[in-house]
Amino acid sequence: MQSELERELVEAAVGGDLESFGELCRRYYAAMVAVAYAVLSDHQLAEDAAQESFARALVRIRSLKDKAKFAPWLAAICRNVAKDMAAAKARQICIEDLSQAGHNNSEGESSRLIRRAIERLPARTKELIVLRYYNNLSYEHIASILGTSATAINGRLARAKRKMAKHLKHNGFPENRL
Amino acid sequence: MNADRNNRKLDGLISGALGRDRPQFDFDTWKQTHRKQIEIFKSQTSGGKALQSAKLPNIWRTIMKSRITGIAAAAAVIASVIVGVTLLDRSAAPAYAIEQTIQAMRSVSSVRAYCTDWDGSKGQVWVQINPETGQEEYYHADQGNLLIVATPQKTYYYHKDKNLVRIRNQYVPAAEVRFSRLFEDLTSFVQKLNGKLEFQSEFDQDLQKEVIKVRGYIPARRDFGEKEFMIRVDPKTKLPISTDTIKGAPGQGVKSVDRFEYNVPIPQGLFDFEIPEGAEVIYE
Repeated sequence: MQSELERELVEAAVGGDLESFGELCRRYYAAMVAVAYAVLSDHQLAEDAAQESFARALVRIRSLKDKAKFAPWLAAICRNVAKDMAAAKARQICIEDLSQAGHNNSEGESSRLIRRAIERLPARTKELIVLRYYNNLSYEHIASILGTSATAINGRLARAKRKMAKHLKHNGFPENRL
Repeated sequence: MNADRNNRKLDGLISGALGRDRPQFDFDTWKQTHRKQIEIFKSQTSGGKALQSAKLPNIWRTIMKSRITGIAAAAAVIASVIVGVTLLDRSAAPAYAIEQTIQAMRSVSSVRAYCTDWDGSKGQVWVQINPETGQEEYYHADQGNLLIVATPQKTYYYHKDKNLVRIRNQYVPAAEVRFSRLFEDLTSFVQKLNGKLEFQSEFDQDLQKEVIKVRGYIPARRDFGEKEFMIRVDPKTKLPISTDTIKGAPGQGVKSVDRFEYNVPIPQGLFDFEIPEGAEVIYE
């Protein structure tokens, strides 16, 4: 749900106020980095993609029909930018990329298994998980970006985690740690 | 909601595997690296009409419907194509300054250009422009052995050395780059040929004053030789002072225009072409 202040910022940005657009960028930067990270699995590239998506959004903002849907519109641009970048660099989201922080100790192994489980999720579900846990965004903030309700986000997250837990158990992850 | 939020163990595991410090966005730094987009954004606002995309090909067709909006949008597109900009007017943003230049070109109703060709021959070109539309309507180019007279209905080419007249039943622009649309056409032309444009304000030794230098470079192609040129623009009037072809070949236009005169009275009958006695006539 878009706040009154955000609605005013969008109105002002569409009307040509660059600083209002800047404030929107600040508000949605972390979320856009997460959206891009879900596609790219690379922190630096994800930040680049988020910034490029702001550039694309800036020159197209006058074409935004429904101002209440600024965040989903921005997220759609960001997804496309990230996909373009992934295609350009011929990068595939692979387990090794997500496991880049992997260590040989048991904690590192757990993280690797968790990342592997995330990788197996459908793209939109994976994006949801990344949005929630990459920068610890609130349900409400995620809901505004995906254009849905916090309740719906909760339901989708619950199903995603059940799927992940099932996969983890199936792959020998200690049940008592779940 | 609680059922999910109570799954703390898995939450902790996922956060541990994915979690990062929240990235901070520095808008001031971003602005420094996205000037073109900001120019386009600002021009959309001042022109009151949005470009649908930052993509450039075929954009002229869509932005020239309204004169004022077209100028602003054209300036934005030019600003986004040129590779280097030192402000045309040091107090103005590039797109706005280019917009002023385009606007100045549209205020011109006639031009007299003094030219030098590759063989050293001197010539003159007169152009009459409809101030309402900014479109050229007539021109008269007398350079070396060739005289061209173009009217809205016909274009005459008189080859003096052969006493030959070629006639085409339409207005044929003298060059792909029209004078009244100099910067718009030039941008399209350079872009089409994978060239580059630079606008820079600098002191001109020959003229002993500050001028805007528009430098263009077009790499060689199979059907078009390498071309490098420079246009000097007066920073006050925003109108071209002279042009020079630094690299080029005969057939790609005159070598230089040494001087321009604007809004000068056109001699009566200048665009009336009479076929010289005994001339061979070919209709094309």
